[in-house]
Amino acid sequence: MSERRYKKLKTAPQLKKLLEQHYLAAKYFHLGKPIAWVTSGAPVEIVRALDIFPVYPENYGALCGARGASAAMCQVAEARVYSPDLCAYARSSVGMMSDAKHAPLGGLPRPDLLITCGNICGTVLKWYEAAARHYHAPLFILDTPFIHADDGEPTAHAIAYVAAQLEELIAFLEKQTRRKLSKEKLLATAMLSSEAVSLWCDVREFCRARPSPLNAPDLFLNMAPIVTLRGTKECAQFYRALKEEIAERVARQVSALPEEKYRLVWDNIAIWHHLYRFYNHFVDYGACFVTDTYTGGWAMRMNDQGDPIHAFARTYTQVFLNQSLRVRVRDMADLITRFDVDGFVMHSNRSCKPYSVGQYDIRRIVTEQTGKPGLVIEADHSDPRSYDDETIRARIQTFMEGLR
Amino acid sequence: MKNKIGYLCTYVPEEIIHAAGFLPVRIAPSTTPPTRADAHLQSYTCCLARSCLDQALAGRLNDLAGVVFAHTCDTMQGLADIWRESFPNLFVETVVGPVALNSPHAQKYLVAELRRFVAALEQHFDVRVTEDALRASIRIYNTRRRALADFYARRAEFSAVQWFNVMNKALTTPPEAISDRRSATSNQQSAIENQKSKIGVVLVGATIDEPTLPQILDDLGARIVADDFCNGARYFDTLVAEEGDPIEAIAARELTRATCPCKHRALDDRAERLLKLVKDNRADGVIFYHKKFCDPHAWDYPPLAAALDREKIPHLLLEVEQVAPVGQTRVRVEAFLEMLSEG
Amino acid sequence: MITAGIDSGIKTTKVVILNDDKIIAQRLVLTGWEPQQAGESALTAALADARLSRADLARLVATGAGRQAFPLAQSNVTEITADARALAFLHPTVRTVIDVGAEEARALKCANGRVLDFAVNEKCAAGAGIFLETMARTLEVTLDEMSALALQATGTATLNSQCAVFAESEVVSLIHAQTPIAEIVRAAHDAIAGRVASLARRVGGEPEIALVGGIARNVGFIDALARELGMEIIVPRDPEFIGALGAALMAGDPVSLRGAS
Repeated sequence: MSERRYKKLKTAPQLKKLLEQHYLAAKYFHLGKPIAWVTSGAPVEIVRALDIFPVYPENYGALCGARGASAAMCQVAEARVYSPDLCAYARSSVGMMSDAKHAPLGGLPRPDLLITCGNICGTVLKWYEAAARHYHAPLFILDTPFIHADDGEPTAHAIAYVAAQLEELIAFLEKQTRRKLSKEKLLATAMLSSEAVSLWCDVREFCRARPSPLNAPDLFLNMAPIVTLRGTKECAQFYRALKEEIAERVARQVSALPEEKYRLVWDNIAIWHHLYRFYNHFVDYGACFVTDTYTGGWAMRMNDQGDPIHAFARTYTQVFLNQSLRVRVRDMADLITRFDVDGFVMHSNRSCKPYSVGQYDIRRIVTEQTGKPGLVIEADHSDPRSYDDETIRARIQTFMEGLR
Repeated sequence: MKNKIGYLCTYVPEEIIHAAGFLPVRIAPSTTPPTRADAHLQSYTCCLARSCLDQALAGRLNDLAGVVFAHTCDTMQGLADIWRESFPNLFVETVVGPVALNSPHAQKYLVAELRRFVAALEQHFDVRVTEDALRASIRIYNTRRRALADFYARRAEFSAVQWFNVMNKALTTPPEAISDRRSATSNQQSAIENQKSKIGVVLVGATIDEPTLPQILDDLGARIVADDFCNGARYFDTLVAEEGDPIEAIAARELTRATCPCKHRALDDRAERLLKLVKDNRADGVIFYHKKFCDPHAWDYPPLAAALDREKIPHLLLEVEQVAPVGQTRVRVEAFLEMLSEG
Repeated sequence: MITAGIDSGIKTTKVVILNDDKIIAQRLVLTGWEPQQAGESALTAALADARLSRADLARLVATGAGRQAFPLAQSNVTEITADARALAFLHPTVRTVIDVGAEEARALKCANGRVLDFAVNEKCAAGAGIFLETMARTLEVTLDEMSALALQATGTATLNSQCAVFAESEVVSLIHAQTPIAEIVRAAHDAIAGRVASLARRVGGEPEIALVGGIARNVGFIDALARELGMEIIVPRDPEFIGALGAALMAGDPVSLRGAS
């Protein structure tokens, strides 16, 4: 893996320790807590409040990508007749289920429960079905209807449907754990979750500064706790420390890059297997990704009016990947204006159709609206076999030649 | 005034569109390679999305007053929005049905979503969708579904290509035109010689839109004894109740008809149904006819293949981009049929 | 001022030498296994044609797949940027440039020599020159014969595969089905033209449209592309030298180019 060519964060060791502890605990020290596999967009606050230990196969998929293990794991799945066109997070995960010999950390712990929430894609349904068949673990599907409305608002009947399922989820988990959900504990978890989300939003907003204190890989790596540890004390603690460090960087005008000449927005999931190598191609031109649409996905603030179940229903249904092309255009244009950027780069991600289908139109409309050029790069979030560095470098060079 | 409304997926409630005074017609991939859709859709999307959008962009669907989507897979979800951007003046709506068909709340949700769709139609076209009209449309479509089921029961008398023609014609003609088996098969003559063929196969896939595979099966003397296609048996296998609230009845059918892999009813219901199709029709084998880049079917293939393996039922996977390549497909199918006749 | 542009392609290497805005020499050699050596020999030959020596050369800019392999070059640019610059010089009214190379097809939207937008074929889309060569090999005809054959076809055979390997087996099926060879050739041209046209549409596809690169010598392909896009296609003189010409022009531009280090 290439070296990063920009400033390291002081909180980096803290982040590393936090995640290591999480995976170790998941494997060995979950202290009798049942293990639930949950999707990144699942209402984990309910899971935590019932003392269930959540693990995130998607985050693990990213980890496998970053550690260069995905291709071997995917090949195990492909040998078991899973198509190479399926999402590489899911494919590597299915590979790990039947043979963990290539899996980092010896693989994820066996799930006692499976909770899949469709607000991010259709793949998580099929992936968790595969897991349920393999592990014979009970599966709960939280069905969050896609929002095609221009204003991004879910219909009243969609909210009622999701809320009713959340009640059902609670009953399901209570039955599985033979515990009763404490409303106080749920609220306390939701508060911790909100606090971390709020701190993460602040960190992201700091990048409006010129020069930006963070570049895309910083955002990608530092989003891990908001996904995997949302609702814990450690998570909120970490983001307090991170916010402090970034505030200081901004105050002292410390730039993430040696010299920031261009500011860009990133769209789609990170290219984990070539994280530094890929983003260094932009560092070569002094181009910094000051913000992105991906790590902002977990910066949704909890809507806390009225009944908490309804608030959960609304928040989790409104996740950005559950929103129409028009909302995605609006959000991208908003980032371009607020972060004062020169252009945007879209990762057309073979593994992630909901995030990628529509990018060509989004690009065209956003450029029409903002006058800022956009570049589409084809790759894959974790399968390095879909990555061609030479071709990608040429695309980046042409794009940067156009920006000058 | 244009009186047709297009759809790509049979989860779209055609009775409602019909009751609003429109003719619902299925938009199917053509055999022409797309040249316009590539500006909107990546190469890793399926031909159903790419070819249908391409035809629209080429102006070949200009006779449609609207296009209605049903929420199914990630590609269709994106395609619906792309369609709306490409044709800002067209009526483009998505009925976002439930994914968790087994949820106790799915019926209530779907009913409300269908009523929203009714309201959207009424508002856009300034029409009224009355209960009486809905009931009448339900009866007409039930009649067509019964006619197709009847044709199906007698399909041994027809060739695979005839089967293909009947099924594909059915979803693009006015429903009143098909009221019994005779009208379903209209000018198709029974292919008596086909009765003698010994090998029977079940076809499984999203949709079948061009006759290369049926033609090859005919040439090689094999019969299609059952199928699990969106535009095949899954379309007519369940009727809408003709009593009670019509919207409730339409919703109930959507939740109980044979499951599309984009939806979930139970972990193994598709495998159980497939095994039943094989057993009930004494099929010799199964051919999976999958579209390249169709995620939901690709996901269901390993567990379905495993279920067939456990029962020692042979199967073959064909992955097709848009038009099945004749030579390649024939070799595979022929080898498979040879294997079946030896076994 | 004497400037030079060198376009190091996968198959061929091209050099153009300019005296201010006047082309004084151009050379094309096969790239082979040593792009740097090919570049050296093309440059030496072109300079000799112009009766010049290395010392006369004020600036050299490289482009093409091997653009980073020339220590002699002061800087390098991508073919896309070079194409836009060259077309502004030759045909300033052109708004869309299509460049079909051996392994890559590109479309770009330009104005005043600047790239406003561009699109490149995705990795496995069978939309580049090599596809035609594969087809020619399968059909046992030369590329020139293919170009002429395409114009004779009357039928409407089509190739559907997005993958060159599968397309090849489709061609074999068509041969077995006794489809006339002219028709198959036309289908192959139509298949590439369709994909290339969709790239052009992705960047807006505004007229006028120019076609550059080696394939622009293929009348069968030009005909297929013009039919697909429904407009006339401008082919500049010496279309395979456009990248090198753009690079040579940029070598004379006052703005210094900033290549990746």
